[in-house]
Amino acid sequence: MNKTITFIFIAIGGIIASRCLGADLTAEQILRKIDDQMLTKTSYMEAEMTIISSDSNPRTLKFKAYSIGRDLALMEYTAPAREKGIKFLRREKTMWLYFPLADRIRQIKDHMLREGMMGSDFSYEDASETESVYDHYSSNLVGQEKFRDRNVYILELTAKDKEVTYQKRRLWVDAEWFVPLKEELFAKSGMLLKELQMWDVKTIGGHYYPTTWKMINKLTGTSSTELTIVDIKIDIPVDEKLFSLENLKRR
Amino acid sequence: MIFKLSFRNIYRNKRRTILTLSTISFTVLASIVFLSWMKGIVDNWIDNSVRFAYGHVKIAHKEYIKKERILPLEFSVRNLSRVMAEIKNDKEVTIIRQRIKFGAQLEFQGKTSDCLGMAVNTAAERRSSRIQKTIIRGNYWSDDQSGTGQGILIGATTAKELGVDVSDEVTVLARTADFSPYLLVYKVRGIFKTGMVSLDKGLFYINLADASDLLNMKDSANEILIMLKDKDKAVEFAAKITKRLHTTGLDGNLKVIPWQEQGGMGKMIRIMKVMMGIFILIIAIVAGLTILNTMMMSVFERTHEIGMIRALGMKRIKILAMIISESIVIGVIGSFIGGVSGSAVAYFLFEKVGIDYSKVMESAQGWYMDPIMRGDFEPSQFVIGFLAGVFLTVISALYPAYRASKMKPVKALRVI
Repeated sequence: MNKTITFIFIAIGGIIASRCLGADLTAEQILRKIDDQMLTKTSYMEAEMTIISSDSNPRTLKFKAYSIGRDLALMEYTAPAREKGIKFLRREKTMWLYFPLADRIRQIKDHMLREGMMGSDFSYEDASETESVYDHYSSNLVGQEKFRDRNVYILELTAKDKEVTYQKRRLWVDAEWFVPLKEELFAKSGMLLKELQMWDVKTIGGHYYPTTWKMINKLTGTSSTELTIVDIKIDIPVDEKLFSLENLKRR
Repeated sequence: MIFKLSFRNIYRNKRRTILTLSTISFTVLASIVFLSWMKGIVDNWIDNSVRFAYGHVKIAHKEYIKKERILPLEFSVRNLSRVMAEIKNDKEVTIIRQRIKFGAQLEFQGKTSDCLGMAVNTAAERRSSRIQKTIIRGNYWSDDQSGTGQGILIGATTAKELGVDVSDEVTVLARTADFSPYLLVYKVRGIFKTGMVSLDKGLFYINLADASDLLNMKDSANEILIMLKDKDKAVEFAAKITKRLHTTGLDGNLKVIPWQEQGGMGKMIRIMKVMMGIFILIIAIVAGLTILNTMMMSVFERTHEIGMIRALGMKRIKILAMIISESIVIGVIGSFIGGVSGSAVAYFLFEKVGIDYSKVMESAQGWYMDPIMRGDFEPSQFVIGFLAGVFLTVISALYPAYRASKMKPVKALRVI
C-alpha cells in the first residue's frame, strides 16, 4: 500500500514537474510556435525605417505594406520625397522594384538580392522567405535563460544545405509569446554577420507581434536599421489584385 | 698613313669584314628599333592612362582610394568648389576634371549590362580625354549641354550587347551614396569606340547634372583629375597641393596622387627600363664578342706581316693604333649602315604602320593601350645607336690590338 502511494506521488510529482519546466517542448515545436505568431493570413502595416550608418547621415523612410501569407508582399514608400512612390513587389520568390519618376519596373536579380532593401540592413533575400525559414535548418534547444526580464528558450540552428546565407542561427525565444526577442545570424565560418532584436510586443488579432525591430550589421559594424511599426492590422481582407505588376504602375 | 693601312687591311679580307660589318649594323639596327618601339608603347600607355583614368594628378578621399574597386560613393571630395578654387589658379594647371565614378546596371528591352558610370564635366573632359574623337554614332555634349536630360554615351561593345543605338532609351539602375537603388531613364546620345577593351565594354559617360539626379549627390565628385603643363612635374605638384590643402584647413582626408603612383605606373616604367637595359646589354655583349672574335682572327692571320713591320722598326704603339683605327673605320661604316636602316625600319614600319594587337587585346581589361601599337622614332635614337655601335666596336678591338702590339718580332716572323 505504502509502495503504491509513494509511486503515485512520484508519478504525479514527475508530471507536475515536467509540466512546470515545459521540458516537453522540442526545438521544432518552438519554431512552429514562432511561425504561428509571426505568420499571418493577411496583414497591413505602416512603418518607419531608420537607417543609421557611420559613413553618412541617418535616413528615415516611411512605407506601407500589404501581405498575404508568405507568398505575396507589396510595399510602397511614402517618405522622404525622393523615395516616395517607389514600390516593392514580391510574388513567391520573384521580386520587383517600381520607380515612379522613370515609370519603370525592374526585377531584382543576382547580386542585388544580397543588398539591403533601400540601403537598409534587411536584405531582399531576408525579406523573401517563402516557406518557413526554419525549414532549412536542423535545430537544438540548448537552454533557458532570462533575457530582458523574460524567460527565453535558447535555440541553435544549423543550416541543412550550403545555399543558405546564414549557415548558423542563435535564437532567444520568449517562452510565453514565442517571439524571437534576439537572433544572431552567422556565416559558416562562425563569423557573426547580423543581429536582430525585437521589442514592443503587442497583441494584435490573436497574435503576439513585435512592433520594433532592429537589425545590426555586425560584419562591417558600421550600420544598423531600426524598423518601427506604427500601425498594423492582421487577417483583414486584402485584395490579391494588389500584388500584380499592373498595379505597380497605378498611382 | 695609318688610316691608309687600315683601309687596305679591311679591304683585303672582304668576307670577314662583311661579317663584322653585318654584326655591327644589325646590332645598331635592332637597338634603334627596340628603343623606338619601347618608347612608343610606353608613351602611349602613359598617355592613355593619364587621359582616361589617372590625370597627371588625382585628388580623392583616402578611403575612396583604398576601396576604389567597389566604387564607394560615400567617400566623396567634400568642399568640392573650395578645393577646386585652390587649384585653379596655379599656373602649372591646364585642365581640372571633376568626376564621379559609380556602379550601375543598364537595361534595354530585357537585356542588362553591369557597367561603370563616369559622370564628368563634359567641357573639361572634351579637352583632355579622347572620348569625343572616338564617337562613331551620335554626338558629344556641346558646352551648353551641361544641364539635365542630356543623355549618355555608351561604349561600342556594350551598345552591341544591349542592342541599342542612338536615341534609344535605356534605364540606368544605380546604387547611390546611401546604398539604396535608384533608377532613371536616359537617352543614348552617342556611341564611342576607342579600340580599348577597358573602355568600349562596360563603360558609359554621363554629365554631372544628370548623375547628381540619379545619385542624389549635389556638387560632389569622388575624384578630381588635374592636367598639368608638364607631366614630369606631377610629383612636386602633388606635394605642393597636399601642403596647400593642409594649411587652408580643407579636408584632411584627401590624398593627392601623381600619375606615377597610380596603377603602379612609375614602378612598372622603372622595371621596364631596367629590362630594356639588360636586353640591350645582352645584345651588345653578343655583338661585342663576335667583333672581338673576327678582329682576333684578322690579327693572327697577319702575324707574319706584323712581325715584319715590327722588325722594320714600327713602334708597338703604332701597331695598336693601326688595329684600333681599323676598328674605328669598321665601326663607323657599320654603325652608319645600321643606324640608317634601323631608323628607316623603326619609322616606316613600326611607327607609321604599327602592329595590330587588337585580337590579343580583346581580353586585356585594365590596360589603356591603343590596339595598334606603334613605335616612336626620334633622331636622338639614331645618334645614340650610332655612337654606341662605334664605341662597342672599338672596345671589342682593344684586346686584339693589344695582342698585336705585344707580338715579339722574332716569334712572329717564324710563322709562315
